[in-house]
Amino acid sequence: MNNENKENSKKIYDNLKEIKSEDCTEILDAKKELALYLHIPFCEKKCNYCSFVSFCGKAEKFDEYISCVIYELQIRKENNAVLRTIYIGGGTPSLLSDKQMEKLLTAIYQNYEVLKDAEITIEVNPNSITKEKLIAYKMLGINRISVGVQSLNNKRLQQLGRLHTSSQVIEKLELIKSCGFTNISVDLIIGLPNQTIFEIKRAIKKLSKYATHFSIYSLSIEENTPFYDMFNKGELKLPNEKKSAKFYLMAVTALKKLGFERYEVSNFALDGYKSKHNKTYWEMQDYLGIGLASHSFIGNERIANTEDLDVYLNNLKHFKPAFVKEKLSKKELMEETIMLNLRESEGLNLEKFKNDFQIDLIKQKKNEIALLKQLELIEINDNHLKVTDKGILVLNQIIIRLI
Amino acid sequence: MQDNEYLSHIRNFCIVAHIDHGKSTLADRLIEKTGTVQKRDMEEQLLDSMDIERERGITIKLTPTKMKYNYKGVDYTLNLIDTPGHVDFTYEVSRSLVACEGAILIVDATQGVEAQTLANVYLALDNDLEILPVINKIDLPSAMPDEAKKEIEDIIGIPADDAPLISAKEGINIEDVLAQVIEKIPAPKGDSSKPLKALIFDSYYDNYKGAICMVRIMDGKVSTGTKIYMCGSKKEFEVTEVGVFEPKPKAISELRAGDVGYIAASIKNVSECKVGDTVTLAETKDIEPLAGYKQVQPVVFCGIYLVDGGRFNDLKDALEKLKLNDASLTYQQEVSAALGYGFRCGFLGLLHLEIITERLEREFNLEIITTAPGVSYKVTTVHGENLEISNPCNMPSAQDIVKWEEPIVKMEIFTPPDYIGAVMNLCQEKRGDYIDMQYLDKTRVKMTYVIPLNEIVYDFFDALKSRTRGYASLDYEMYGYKDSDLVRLDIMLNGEICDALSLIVHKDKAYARGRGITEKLKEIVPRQLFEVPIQACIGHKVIARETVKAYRKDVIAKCYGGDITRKRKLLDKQKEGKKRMRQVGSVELPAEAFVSILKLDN
Repeated sequence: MNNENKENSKKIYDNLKEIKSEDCTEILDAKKELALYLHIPFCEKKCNYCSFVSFCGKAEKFDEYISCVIYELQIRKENNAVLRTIYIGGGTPSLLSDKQMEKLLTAIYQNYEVLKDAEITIEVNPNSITKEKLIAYKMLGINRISVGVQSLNNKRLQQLGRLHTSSQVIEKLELIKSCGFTNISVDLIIGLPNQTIFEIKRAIKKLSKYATHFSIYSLSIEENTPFYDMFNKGELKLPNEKKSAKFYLMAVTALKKLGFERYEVSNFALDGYKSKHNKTYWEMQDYLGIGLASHSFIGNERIANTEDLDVYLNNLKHFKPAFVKEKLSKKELMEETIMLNLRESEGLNLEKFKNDFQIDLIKQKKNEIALLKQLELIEINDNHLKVTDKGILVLNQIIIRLI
Repeated sequence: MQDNEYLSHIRNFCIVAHIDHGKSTLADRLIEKTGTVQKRDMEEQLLDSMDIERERGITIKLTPTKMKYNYKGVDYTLNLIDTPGHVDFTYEVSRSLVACEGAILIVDATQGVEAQTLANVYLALDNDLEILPVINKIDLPSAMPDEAKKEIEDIIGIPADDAPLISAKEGINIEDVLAQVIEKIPAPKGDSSKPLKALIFDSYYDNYKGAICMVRIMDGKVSTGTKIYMCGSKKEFEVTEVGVFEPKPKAISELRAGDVGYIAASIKNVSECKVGDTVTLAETKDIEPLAGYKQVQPVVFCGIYLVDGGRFNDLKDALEKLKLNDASLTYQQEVSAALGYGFRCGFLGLLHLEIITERLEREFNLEIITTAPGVSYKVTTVHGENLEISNPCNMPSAQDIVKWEEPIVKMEIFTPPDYIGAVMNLCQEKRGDYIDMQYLDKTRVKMTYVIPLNEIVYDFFDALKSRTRGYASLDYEMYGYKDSDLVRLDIMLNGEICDALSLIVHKDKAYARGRGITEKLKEIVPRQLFEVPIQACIGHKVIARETVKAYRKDVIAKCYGGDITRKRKLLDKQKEGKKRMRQVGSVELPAEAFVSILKLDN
């Protein structure tokens, strides 16, 4: 980035800061807090396991897409709302240039009030993130970086179809840190072919020097991915259930030792570094999803944006959103509450559940709860129903019994 | 009209054919050709009135049809009596055949004579029916009519030179068939001045008229108001209507010797007009009834339960309705710890069982679970009680039983000589006692065995077919009871007996069967949140064991805004799947588990 550019960005950022603080002073108690998700559906290369809505090699569409996202931000503006968190996910948001990112965030700040201490996250991957972009992020108010690491073993990275190596990961994490970011999250995948316990342990240890937050997922084979075909042809040898359960439990233990608490099935954080944005999903608070394939949940209504890029662009160019709305029934709300709350280590607040739905879960699911308790898969204390470490492994089975 | 004159214009006949060889299609063409039903009203396979029959292309229920046909300037009445083709219904078939003087034998020009046809052909020959071979499907490129004719002559031993070459599907040469029916099949005999003698060859239930007897009048006459008497069930009725089938029932003033038609007499229940019974006049109760009447008894039993236990009353209603039309179906309420409320039902055989369960599912929209089919045992206890037990769960414990008898059947197997060894092996495996073997001709052997019914209710028919490449056919009749060394085999899931899985087996077979069942269940029982031992036991002794490992781990997947709906729907679906599970103690069992153990052998 040349000096002139830097100057420019600085100016904009100062302006933005002004807008932000100005707005914040006017926040009234009545204002509704909202989480904003923004989807960037572009990647340099699609990873072999990935089934998300994302396209490669459409750089010529970036500007068009950003304009449409901005239209959507304007059309779907929620009155009286103030953003508590912003999350720019993908795809690979770090693929956008700093100019493009600036345009996007400026639009957000122009259309929405943002809390002063808002958590603003961007997902980046090690190969597309640069010092210039990071500086721009910093200036644009982004304060949390989520890095798609996935593995620190080059063979695994290659098999996953990632474009970076393990040493690049460390290099980029150093860079992120040196740019002044103090809230860094890393993603890791467990249950890969040939993966060893030692390897995962080592990766966790190495990454913990930089990360304040870990997301750990087990590999799932999704349709319409190269892995799916490979798996069906028998070319992917995945660890068996017993082994992958061990991987997970080991990761939990290793992270705990390093001070990372599991606060959700797949998420671990140092004290004070839980993802506020993601907690919105599990606690069923309102969120607005903007961009291709994004989902919103506002006032018990779920809104799913189209997954078709052309439809999305065409509609928005005519200032028409492209989504389907679904009002959740009481039953569906209850099911989602159980399903999502149980993911969090805090568990399900039984008192609140009773108030919200007029149902005493303990009474209604007496037999199931007794069995699950006996098997040490759940526990109840402080009026919260919580899933134990052992239970997390069979969370779906627990949920099915409680919904 | 004089009897001779009247009878000479009547032909009563049936059609014998292998499945798929075109019986129903030919029947349709005959009806169409004779103008009995207007073409626009024709439905494919008109005579197969039940959905299941139409779908499977097999005929279970007989629907007779009266057709008018002018041949060489003379009007004839042709009565077609359709026949089912399965061993479960041999008795019904035999009664239908008695009502006829001739049978059309359909042979597929592309396949030749098929094994299954033979049994019914011989049944027809036994009843002195004139056999009229017809070569069907000559429109197909692979048709080999000459070979088919030769096979008829070689295998069955009847001349087939003039056999009409037809295509029932395309309506080719149907007139030839009609001409031969009139020329070759003898006119019925009978004396309308003698007291009434009518053979009931089938019955059905009509919501308005009550049970309707389908009859062939052998002697005498019957009309509205006639007081009739059923020789077998010893019941008297007053006739409210007589009629013929065209093929829909049509009331007429009188049925007389030689006719095929129906009698309605406000009969409340089909069990009061049993197949094979003789109808006569109330004033001639003591005439000699027609030969061959048999009280049909259910021989195969199983429990019928619902996947959704809440619909018990629907099941009860459905069985009541089916029973109205099916005198051979029996049912009795029972309770299973595993399956809740249900019925122990009795059937003529396995096909009958299958038909009933399928009708319950299809016509009454019930999802049912059947337990392993079994038979009825006679047991004498130490307390001197004589019990008849068809539900394994009701069996007293072994030390209380002094005598245990099981039903046996006399079975005749017809097979080409090549398969004698295979048949003998099979019968030996199934505890059959060899009685006799006869070469009927160069190509056909009749082997006679006495065999426990218990051994054939599972898969005997399928095993016989597969070991003889479909060529053997069988027929059996009840032959009484014999003392036997039997045991009750229980299946324990996680330490608890699942009553719906209990079976009675011969002592020598208990181990193999126990092993087979536990292995099969291991495949079927889904993993639970804890380890589930599956044990087969006799009394307290465990003879086989398998273990279903505990469910260990779901995929640890992310769940953010975009994943929630999909995930909820997925879990909802899994929950629905769970609802269909049966809770047996602490273990969840899918409905298939109860059926799967039937399909064990081989």
